[in-house]
Amino acid sequence: MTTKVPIAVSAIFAVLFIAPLLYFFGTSTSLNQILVALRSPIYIDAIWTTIYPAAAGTAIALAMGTIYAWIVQRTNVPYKRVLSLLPFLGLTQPGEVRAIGLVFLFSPQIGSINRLFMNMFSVSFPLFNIYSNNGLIFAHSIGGLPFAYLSMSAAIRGIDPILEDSSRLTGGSVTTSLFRVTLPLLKPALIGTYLAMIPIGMANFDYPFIFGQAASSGVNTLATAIYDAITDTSPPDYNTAGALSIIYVLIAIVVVTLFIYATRQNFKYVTVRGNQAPPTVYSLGRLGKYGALAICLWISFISFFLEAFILLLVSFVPFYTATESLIPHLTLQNYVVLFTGYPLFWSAVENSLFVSLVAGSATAILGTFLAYTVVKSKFRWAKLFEYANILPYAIPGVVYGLAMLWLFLYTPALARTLYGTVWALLIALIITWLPFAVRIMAPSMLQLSSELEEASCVSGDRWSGTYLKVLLPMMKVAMLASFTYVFLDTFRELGTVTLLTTPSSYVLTTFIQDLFTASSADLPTAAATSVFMMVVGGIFLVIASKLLGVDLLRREGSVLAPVPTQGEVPIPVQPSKDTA
Amino acid sequence: MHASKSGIAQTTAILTIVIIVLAIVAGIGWSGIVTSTSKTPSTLTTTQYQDLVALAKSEGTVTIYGQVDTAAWNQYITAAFEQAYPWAHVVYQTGTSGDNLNKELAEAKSGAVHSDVIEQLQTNFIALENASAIQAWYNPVEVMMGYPSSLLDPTNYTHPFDLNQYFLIYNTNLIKNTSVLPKSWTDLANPIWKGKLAIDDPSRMSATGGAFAILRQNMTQSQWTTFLQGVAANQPYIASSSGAVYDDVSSGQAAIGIGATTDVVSGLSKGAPIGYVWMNPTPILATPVGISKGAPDPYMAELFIEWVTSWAGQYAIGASSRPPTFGPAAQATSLALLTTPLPASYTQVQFSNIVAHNSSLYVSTYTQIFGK
Repeated sequence: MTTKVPIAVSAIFAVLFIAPLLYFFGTSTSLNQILVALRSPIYIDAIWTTIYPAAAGTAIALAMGTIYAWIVQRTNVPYKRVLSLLPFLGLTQPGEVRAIGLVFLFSPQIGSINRLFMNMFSVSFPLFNIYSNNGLIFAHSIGGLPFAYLSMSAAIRGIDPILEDSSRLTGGSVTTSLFRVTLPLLKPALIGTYLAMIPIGMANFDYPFIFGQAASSGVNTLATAIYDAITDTSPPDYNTAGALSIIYVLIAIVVVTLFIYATRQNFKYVTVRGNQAPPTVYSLGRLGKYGALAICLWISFISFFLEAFILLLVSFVPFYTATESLIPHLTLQNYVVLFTGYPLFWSAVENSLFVSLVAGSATAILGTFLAYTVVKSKFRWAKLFEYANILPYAIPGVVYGLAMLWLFLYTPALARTLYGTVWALLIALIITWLPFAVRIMAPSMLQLSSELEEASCVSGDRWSGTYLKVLLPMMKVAMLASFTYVFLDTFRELGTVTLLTTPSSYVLTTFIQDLFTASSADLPTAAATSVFMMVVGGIFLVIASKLLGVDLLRREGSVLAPVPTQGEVPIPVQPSKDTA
Repeated sequence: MHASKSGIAQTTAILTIVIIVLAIVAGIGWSGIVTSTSKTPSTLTTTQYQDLVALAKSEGTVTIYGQVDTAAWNQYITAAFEQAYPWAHVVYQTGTSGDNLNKELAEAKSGAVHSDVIEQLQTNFIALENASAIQAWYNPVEVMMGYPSSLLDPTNYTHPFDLNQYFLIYNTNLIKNTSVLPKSWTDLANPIWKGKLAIDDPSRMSATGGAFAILRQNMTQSQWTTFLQGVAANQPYIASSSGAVYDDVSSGQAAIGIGATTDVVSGLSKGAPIGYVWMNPTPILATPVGISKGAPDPYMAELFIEWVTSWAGQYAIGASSRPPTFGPAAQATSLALLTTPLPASYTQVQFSNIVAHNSSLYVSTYTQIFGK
């Protein structure tokens, strides 16, 4: 089947992913500099601190996300519509604000949880020290929950229930079906999601930047080392930044290679076919369903509500201190000043909404092309796109932002037309977040059988018709999920935009950064802005869930799996010839 | 009657000479108004000022890259400038000093310069000068105002804006007995401050890096290294800026720290539990302004800098809680909140002059000892 369109689109974006970085690496560093970095004990330690907490935190996030997704998708837990929204609330906060919120909770000196623990049990040691590698693992685990839940939800929803029903019919319990049918079917999605999330965790800057401030923490990652080289050194040390960034890319290439190797047998797991039945919903019993509800609420509490509450409290005080009670200082003044005293605030809101809506839409559509090229096409070099896809999120945002700045400034046509406008911001965000859209949609694309496309082709339709009439409807949920995720992430993105923002393209995250750099770093107003972003993000999630939820309800199965009528047999899985 | 050939030639020669002379005069006059780097009489005549205003008016807009937060800049500095020049429009873009430096260097290298005026750390101006990203320009106002010569740039690349003094800050709820506070910078190595000290990253060559560099002038290398190792052994919180140090101290994360007058003045106005102690020597760091090389609106840039170095501009800076460079303006505005003034006997040291051209020596030592 001719697939020139998705391949052409993929090639264009592969070039856009790679070009800024190639220029940056080519002009900033050398092989010798890379070897110097690899011989430095500080950077060796930074490499370890980059990989280990990301890998451990991601594993925990994946476990939480999978459990949560299975409970919501496959059990009769109450309040499903609300529960399906909660994992995404963490995406409504900028990373730096979240990190500061965790400090307010778990700092040995000023953390509220630690102070409560020490006072309650009359001890002098804290319950948990956020200024440590364990703190970084914890932050990665709660930070990775939205992506893990999103990916695994789509994969779980896509499983053919006939296979699970067959297990039940032959006498298997819910647990047996879960471990012997569902989890094996989810294996490629689990592996793919885990390997997709690790580079994201490694490239994270906000958490190690904040937690690394305690000299005893030992938290110093490649991202913070690169940040130091670019912004804390005068003149900027692009040699070191380029060398460390190349190390990042090499690690990411290894991870992606593992991903490709692990998912090479993906055709065995195709389950979505043309005659898809509604998914099975298991009855957990009265006690079981409220136990499942408690699990979901606990996960939501530790991943979002705990830290959101402390930020809410800080937004109502003129300054934050743990050395005296905040109650006498509570005030609405921060919100009054925010809404009436900052003219730039409302233009930042407008720009943020515009940029996020356009970026979310563009990446959802373009992502289907790239996902198709990588997962479905027979294109010989399709796997190269897999590598190109990882670059924007395998590299810390500060590096990609600088690379994009150089791209816009050193290309005369772009310098004259786009630099300094909101469109430069938009292009940078689309390029940065398109790989995420691909990652979200690829597992769902993976589960679509080629029978559907072949049937369309045999009927005489061209690929464009197949794409519009067959693939897009089947990918609708994944696209909406991708749009939701990218909207929320671009809404809170800072690293990519900070160097490209101008007064006319001011967004909320640069507004918050502005507050952080103000005299006595206006934390309470930054917290108030973050609360505002949470409210806007929450409203958006409710709207998005109504669009996603309609589809969910239509595919909702009965509580007990239906017994097949005579003559109906489960359709065996046949190897497909259209995958590598 | 036809003109003779010799008459035409003579007229042409005279006109040519006149044009050449006019061009020379105009060139001298042009450079005298716009880009003269030579000293001129220390008075700004009305004629020269009016010329500049007329030229600036033809441009209308000045774009400034700075580190002051946008709200404070717009509320005090932009408002005051636009009140003085109602036809003028200020476009202000904020960012961290590091982000702005990257942007300024990239724009200069590419030739697509968007900024007219740059407000930056003194130490970063060295990088900008080396990259030919800023241009020298004689500002008559700073001479007329009587700024101390030690605060002026003899090469005319930078011009006064604000000036931070750094001192010891402490949390008044954690430290009730002020007699335990350090009396000198070297007391920061005292083990009693282990886990209780906050400093900004020394390798940034800001408050902490500068204060430690000043101490090196009166110590041997061995003594200085021992002192730094003592501070590092206290496992301080190493923040990204002096503002973040202020946050650490006011929140109670750290009991003491090296902070800036800007942050303390702002914090005291909100009732934060913060105290301060002046130390001798007192590190000071100027955040000057300069004109971008290739600025799209050079006359507006000059007019803005002339204004911001005048009493009106310095007062506007002070009103935004930042200490202006001009002492009397600082005393009348932001520093008025500091009830304990800097003792007259204390020495103020602009550490950027110390580290100006060999900062890498200090940075490598800091990185080696503090691991950042």
